[in-house]
Amino acid sequence: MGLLFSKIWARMVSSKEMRILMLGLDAAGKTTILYRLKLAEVVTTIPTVGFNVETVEYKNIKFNVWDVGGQDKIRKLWRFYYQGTDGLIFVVDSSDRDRINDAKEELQHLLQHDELRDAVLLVLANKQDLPYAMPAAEIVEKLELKHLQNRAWYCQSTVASTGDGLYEGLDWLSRTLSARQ
Amino acid sequence: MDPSEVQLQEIEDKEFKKEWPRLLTEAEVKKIIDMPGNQTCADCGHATSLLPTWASISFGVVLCSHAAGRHRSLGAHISRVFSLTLDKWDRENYERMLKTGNDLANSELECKLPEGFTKPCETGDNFAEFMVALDKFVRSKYQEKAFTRSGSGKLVESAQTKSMATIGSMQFSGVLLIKVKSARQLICLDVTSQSDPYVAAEMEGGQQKVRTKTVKDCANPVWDEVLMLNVRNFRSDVLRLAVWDADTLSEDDKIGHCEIPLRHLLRRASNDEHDEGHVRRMPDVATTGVFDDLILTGGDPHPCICVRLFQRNTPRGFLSVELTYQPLE
Repeated sequence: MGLLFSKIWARMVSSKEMRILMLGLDAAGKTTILYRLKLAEVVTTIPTVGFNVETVEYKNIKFNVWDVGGQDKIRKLWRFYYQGTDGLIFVVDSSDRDRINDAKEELQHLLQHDELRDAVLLVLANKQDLPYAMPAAEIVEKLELKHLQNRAWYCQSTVASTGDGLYEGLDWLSRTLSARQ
Repeated sequence: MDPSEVQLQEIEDKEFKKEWPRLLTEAEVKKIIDMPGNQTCADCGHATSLLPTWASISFGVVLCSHAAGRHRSLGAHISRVFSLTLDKWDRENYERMLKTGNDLANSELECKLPEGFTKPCETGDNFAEFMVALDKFVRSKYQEKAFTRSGSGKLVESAQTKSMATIGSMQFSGVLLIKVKSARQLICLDVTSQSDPYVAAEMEGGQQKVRTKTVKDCANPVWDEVLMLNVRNFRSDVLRLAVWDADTLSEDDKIGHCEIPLRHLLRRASNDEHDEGHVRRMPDVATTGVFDDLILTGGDPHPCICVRLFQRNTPRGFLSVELTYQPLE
């Protein structure tokens, strides 16, 4: 009986649902982040040729997280995922100085799309555990986030393999998205 | 040469001179694969099913996707991984691949393997064990350089201690956009009112399930919602669509379902490749497909398919969808 009640309760107090799109260059750590959040474990990933989608519940919000592969050719398919996106998570490999400019260009390009006009932006400065990783402040600067207009954004440093920083990122997303309702 | 040949030649020349970085041509990929040792993965050399379609440009080796995943976990400062077919390449990286090859790289990186050691090999029996072994091997070989002439010759411990589930393994050839339009004449399953229908879609044997929103109290619901699924193989994948009745107090009931083998959706060649910035009209499917219990209605550019739903061989209503296949190519 108790189980039945809790089931009914869970169905009646249905939590809010948010569509989150997670993008970034290949090997930034998107899939590791997705499954760290979903399973609270480090999983062995192989390059995502396609996409993964999982629902992550946090603070009474259901985050429907779409993780789309980052290889050049797959980036052309990103636009099919834009529609209805509440929050965009852009993942950056903070240790990859050679490609931070590519990351900036991809992000700027993304943000120009009309379908993402209202999406809030969470940048995860990932792989902070690697040598010479750029701190979050430097990522903010390199991605020129301060030049963004009419965009709620936040940059959080993370280590996907330990989970450091991920929930702080989700906290910001849930606060920012709830405030908009 | 007739004019069309001249034109073709011009296009080919243009493709060839296209500035780097760019995608590799088929001939260039073949050139890499033809290098000595490049027919199998540099790290799990025995698995022929795991084609080497990835490369570490840091070491000039080609890899299967499992090894590519392990290389990426080392960080780009140790091994930078590119796809032979999905990434844009710089000229120097491409040329570097042509100077090395797995045999040459391994003669240096594996010259001091522990005695009696066999490289990790996927036998299909114990995948988790294989992944642990592969992780240890890749770390030792590339990060510690343990098997080079001056190396320790010893394997390091694996950094992976937790779940060894392989995620992100969904190889796909494109995405299927399913525009769920409407249903009609749905059989009513509720006693007191009409059903509260929603549509769920999945690919047979796939890991993904997607669904529409619920329309309350309706036998002829309209959703007009686009769902998306990965397509692994257009020739063998089967799409499953089911209409469910959402219940608040009990498990949802299935109203009816149908199955659509994608190979029946004949694809027409796309003739509008121009203008990448815009959402271009996608190559459409299902123009002349013949289906059991399928009625084709509508016309170009997005043919609408009307499918009859069944549950235990009983007709349960009709569902209208538009299917569009967007290949990766």
